[in-house]
Amino acid sequence: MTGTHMMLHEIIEEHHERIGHIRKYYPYFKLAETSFTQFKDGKYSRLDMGYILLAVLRFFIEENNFKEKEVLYSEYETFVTALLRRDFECYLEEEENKELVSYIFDKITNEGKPFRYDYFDPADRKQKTIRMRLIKSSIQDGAVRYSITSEAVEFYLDTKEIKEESTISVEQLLLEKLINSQNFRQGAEVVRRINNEVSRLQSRKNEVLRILGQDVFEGVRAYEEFLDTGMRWFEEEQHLFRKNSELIHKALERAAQDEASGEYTSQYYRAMDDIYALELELKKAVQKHSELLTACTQLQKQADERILKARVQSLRSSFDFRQAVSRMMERDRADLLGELIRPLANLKIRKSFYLPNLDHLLTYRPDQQETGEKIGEQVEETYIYEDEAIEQRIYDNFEILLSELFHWLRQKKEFTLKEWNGYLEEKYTERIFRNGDYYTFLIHICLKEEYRVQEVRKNPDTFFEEIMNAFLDKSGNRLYEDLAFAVRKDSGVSLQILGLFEVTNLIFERRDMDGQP
Amino acid sequence: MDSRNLEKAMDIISALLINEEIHRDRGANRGLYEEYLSNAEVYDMVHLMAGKMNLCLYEYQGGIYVSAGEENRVYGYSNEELKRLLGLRLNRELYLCYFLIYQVVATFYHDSASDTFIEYMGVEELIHNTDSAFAKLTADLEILVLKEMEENSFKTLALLWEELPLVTGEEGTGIRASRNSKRGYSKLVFNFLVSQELLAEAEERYYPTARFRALITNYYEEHRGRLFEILNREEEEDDAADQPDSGE
Repeated sequence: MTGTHMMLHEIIEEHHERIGHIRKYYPYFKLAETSFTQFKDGKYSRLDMGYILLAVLRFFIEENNFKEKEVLYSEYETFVTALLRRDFECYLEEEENKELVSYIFDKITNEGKPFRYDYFDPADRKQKTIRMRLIKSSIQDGAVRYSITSEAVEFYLDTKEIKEESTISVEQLLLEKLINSQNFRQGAEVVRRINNEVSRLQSRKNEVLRILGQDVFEGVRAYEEFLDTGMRWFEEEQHLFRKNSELIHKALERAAQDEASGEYTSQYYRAMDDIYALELELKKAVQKHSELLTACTQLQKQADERILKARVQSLRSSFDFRQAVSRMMERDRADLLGELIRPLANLKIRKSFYLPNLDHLLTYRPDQQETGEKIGEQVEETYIYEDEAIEQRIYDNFEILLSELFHWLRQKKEFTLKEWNGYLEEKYTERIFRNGDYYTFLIHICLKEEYRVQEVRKNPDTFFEEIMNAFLDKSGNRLYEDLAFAVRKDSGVSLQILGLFEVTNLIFERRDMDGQP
Repeated sequence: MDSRNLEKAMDIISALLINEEIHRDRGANRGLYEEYLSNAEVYDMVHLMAGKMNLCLYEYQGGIYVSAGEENRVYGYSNEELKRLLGLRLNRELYLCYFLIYQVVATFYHDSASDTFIEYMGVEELIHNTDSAFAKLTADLEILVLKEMEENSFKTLALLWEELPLVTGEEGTGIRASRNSKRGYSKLVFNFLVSQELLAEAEERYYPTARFRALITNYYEEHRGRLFEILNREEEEDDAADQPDSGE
């Protein structure tokens, strides 16, 4: 029972840790499998991406960790070109070669995105994602430089050098043996390797900080792992450093004794230069190691700060770029983009007259010049909605009809709709009777039996009177100011219009100012 | 007030005003950064002066960065000036460029609170992202005609983008900034961002600079409320305008 329980515990609880170890191999197999079959119809499928990847990683280790400098793209390009020619006899035209080398770079850097590996974590019963990068970039003096990530170094070393505990400790034990056997030259090599490992841990520390900034949960895991694999050995390493320093110190003392006693044949005296070189390297290593130690104690503080910050941030909302753009799109206001983009620009410091404009003045050709479109003040457009357009049409048509009606009223004391229609037909053709506004006009005019312009001017109380008022305002003359008229229905007489419509005949009668016949 | 401190503060402000880098680890202004960080009076003066000039100051990973913010008539660019800077003629072209820049920002950053996982992006990725962003709008574009739409409509931008060829015959292998093709526009935008020290270029891959990161994580965070207000306030106004007149 206990056995089963332990087995299940191992399967479930330790799965995450196992995946954590496997993940460094993931990019290798992903790249090795498909890379060249998709490129240029598989023209380069004989190239082995796995081999190229390992070679590139080794090149980066050489440059970053041994020479302690970051790699420029041109250096990478030279290296890969040489590799392709040497190992695959791949001699290409410059342009094609450039393209191939760039393709390899994009693959190794996964086009700038981390390699993502999804897996199921049975302990949390959740689908999780782990991310890994092989090459990272930084910008110095405006130029992009590349370096290998600590995970990639680990992967590379794992392919041959098995790492079960602190490499620094193992190397130190080896160093102790070498010093004891008076192999100082080899010892210096070992110390260089220790330096290398210290640099890797330093870079891993920075990565842990970066991950903490991006994803606090992932970051905390990376931090704990770093504590487990890196920092727990510090004490032991410090102790070994002290021990080795003492050994070197003793070796130097013995060499000094040999020199004093004139014993020029002694091994210690002969190896004097090597011992000095070893001491120098070791001092460097001790220095770097204590720097790392300080940095790691700082890391603890920074990690706590980041976690706190993440907690605070999870409670308040941030500016979501995708959400903002969809809001702008919803409202169809592309001009708002300017509000978000303009602050990104550098400060505008060119205040003086732009000298090249002088040339423009001299060579100005009005016809050839493209005129720029002005962005005016952000005044909202005046929209005319459909109902507004209809309203305007009604106003226009009513004005025409009113003008005709008033014209007739001034000329005739009394007339019927039939007579007036005859006139309208003559003037506007029978199309006027197909216009709906004509009938609306008749309906509106029949709402009241009597109209006195003076009263309408003072107090228009129907829609029709408002239009009449607007018409009188617009016409500007005072011809109709005294006009008054009555509208009566000529009961029993109806008019057939165009054989389609039927309206009751009306009688219009002009009145005097007081409304009297 | 110590006149030496005032002098240092003025040095920092003038370095920022002429777009010089002030960074802890590099450049000629390392001393200024030290002064800014360790001398409280200098720090306060720098912030006071920047505030009075309507500038926003941000510290990011050992550097100080500045933005003119919005509506800064002295140091900020207007739409017209940016149009000239980008070599554009029409408003819709400018808005399209804004949209492309926004796509670059949104590719690197999901929101202002988190850091970016993406190391670099290229012309092809920008084109692809812009295509997808416009995909919703381009679905019913067939029935629309450019002149019927307003210049600040996203449909106008989508149509303008949709009508561009991916690449023009003249371009050959290299990509040139132009208004003739999608690649040309993308290159135009990337060139602009490089000139504004927001991106750095290596072999047609574009990497975000510290200045870019500083502005994205700070500016939008700080002005979040105001930006939301701009979007929402106008939204309410639009809604009000859409309401039919009650006749009162």
